[in-house]
Amino acid sequence: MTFFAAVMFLRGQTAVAQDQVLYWGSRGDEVVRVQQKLSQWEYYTGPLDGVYGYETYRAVQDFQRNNGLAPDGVVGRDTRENLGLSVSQPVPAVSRGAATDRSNITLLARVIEGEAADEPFIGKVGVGAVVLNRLRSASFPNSLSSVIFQDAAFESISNGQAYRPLTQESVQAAQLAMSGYDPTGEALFFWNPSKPVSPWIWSRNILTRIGDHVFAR
Amino acid sequence: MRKWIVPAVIGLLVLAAAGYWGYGRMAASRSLEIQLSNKYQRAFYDLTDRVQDLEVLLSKSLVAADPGLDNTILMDIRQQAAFAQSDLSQLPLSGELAGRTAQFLAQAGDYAYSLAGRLNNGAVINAEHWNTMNDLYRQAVELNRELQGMQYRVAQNNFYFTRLVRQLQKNLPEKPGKTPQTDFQKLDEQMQRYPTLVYDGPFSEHLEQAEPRALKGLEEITPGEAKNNALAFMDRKQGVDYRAEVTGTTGGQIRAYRVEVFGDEENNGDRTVFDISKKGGRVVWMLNSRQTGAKTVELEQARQKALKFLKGRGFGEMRSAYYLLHGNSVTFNLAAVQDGVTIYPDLVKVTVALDNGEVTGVEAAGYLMSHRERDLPVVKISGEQARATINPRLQTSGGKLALIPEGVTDEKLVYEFRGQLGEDKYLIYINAVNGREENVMKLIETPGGTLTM
Repeated sequence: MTFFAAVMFLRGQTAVAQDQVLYWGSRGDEVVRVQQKLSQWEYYTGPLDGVYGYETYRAVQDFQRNNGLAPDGVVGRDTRENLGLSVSQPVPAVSRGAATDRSNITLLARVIEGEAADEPFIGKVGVGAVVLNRLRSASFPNSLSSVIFQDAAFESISNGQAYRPLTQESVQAAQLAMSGYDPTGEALFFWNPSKPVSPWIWSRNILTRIGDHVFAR
Repeated sequence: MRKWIVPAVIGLLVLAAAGYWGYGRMAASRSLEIQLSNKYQRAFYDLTDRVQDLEVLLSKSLVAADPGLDNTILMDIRQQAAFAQSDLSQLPLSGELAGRTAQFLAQAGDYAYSLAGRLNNGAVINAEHWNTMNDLYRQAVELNRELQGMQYRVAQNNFYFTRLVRQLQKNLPEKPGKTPQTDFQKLDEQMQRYPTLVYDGPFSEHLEQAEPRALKGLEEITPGEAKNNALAFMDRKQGVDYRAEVTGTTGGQIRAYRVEVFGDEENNGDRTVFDISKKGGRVVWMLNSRQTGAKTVELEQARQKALKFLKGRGFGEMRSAYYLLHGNSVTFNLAAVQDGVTIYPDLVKVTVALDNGEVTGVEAAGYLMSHRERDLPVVKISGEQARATINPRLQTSGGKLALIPEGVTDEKLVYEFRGQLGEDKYLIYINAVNGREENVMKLIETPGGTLTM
């Protein structure tokens, strides 16, 4: 961190796998293919509309249960293989090392999902940026996990809201925040003024407002 | 008589079952509470030990004379400070209760590290450094004293931390008297009494108030001009009528107008948000949140598009440094170029949608903060000389000149080499003035892009 602080781009990102992982909220041709397979085997009776909604989610869970997979309702590599859909071979690793920072994207996306699921996209990127700004601030811990899991730091982490299935939008917002987008003017705090908050927080220097959140430093 | 006995017995059984179940739940939650409390206590006692070590080490650093010994002590300070930070972050404290303490620990560790770096480069510790270490020492003594006092109360009360958690959760107003929350508040207030340090480390406070260099001397603009600048900047589609609105402002280092641009009816939902700096009217960032469709544009086409986009908007010559694929978009990191030297601190990120090649995002805050015409240092080492200093096990290529950031304020002119050892790839930076190896980074290639660590 000390070296390329200004060149945060270097802590690059990876989250694009060869096969798209499908979950509640996904859309597109891949979802149609999954729905086709599931309705062939009568797990799914809804329309083949390419929208991964509740029905598809339930059908995937049933399928996973019957096939000895963890019923998480997410179509990942194993489920895809069991559905008989094509699975691309893993790309031979260029490097012998195993370092990635995929887990960081997921972690960041969790906070975004938990704190800003109903916010506009810019607001989601903003929440991600606040987490990353804390990482760079001396007043907060210096690793992503300890910033996120710090007690009383994020309500959705304390009450479990953040453990909902991730949406594509949250993942995308996390990726943009990681690549350096910060719509908040380097904020360190955000809160929803219509909810009860500690009066202390209003003494911070307010920078901007996005959707329902106030951002401050 | 029987008529009421049966329901009564059933009622009693239900009551007994509920009581049994309730007791079980209570015991389970009690045991979880104890476990949690133990974890908190461990973190607290660890923190106290580390701060004690820190105090001792800081005082030693004031009297050590030999640079070698000093160096060892400084590295120990850094390590203990990092551990203490990690322990502090595990306690159930919000930022408002522990912010200043965390900051002290970060600064102590960081300052020690920067001093150790100085010693390694042959510099000596001068009076100013000594005074700073002395300040840090006095703060450590204060922190230690407060923690010792709290330690007594923690030892007296097994549920000290669970009480703290409850207070935090309920967001209770402060009650008079000694509660864990007031303990920590007092601790943080004690730390507040000390002035924040001023030094050139990454956490230096005075840097947070730095002026954006690229906006120096520019005029303030009106909201109307901000709208025009946003409309002129965005990647416009043919035949679409755009309208712009100022919807807010942003404070912070770059004060800006928030401008939103909407397309016409057919492009419903296609909305692009901008921050336009009040000073000079430059785009700080732009983001369009539309979903991208299937990929039709090649990566190289997108790269050309990104470069052309910036060129047409007054950014001068830029060079593509890295890219990152996410979904059906790609974000390029484009660095400024001056006299053929890649200026890594002046970085603009451009996101291109791979469905139609439209530029959907630009992030230029870092660029606006740091961009200026620089006086580059005179090169004293030739590319060949620099290459000769690299570990001979590496196969090297490249060797272009680049400017890299060092800490927050310094920049160094270096040769950038790519090196390969077996399948592993590295970037090696050799100082072009004194021939020192400044940094080695490892390249990790993934389907989404390249990481360096």
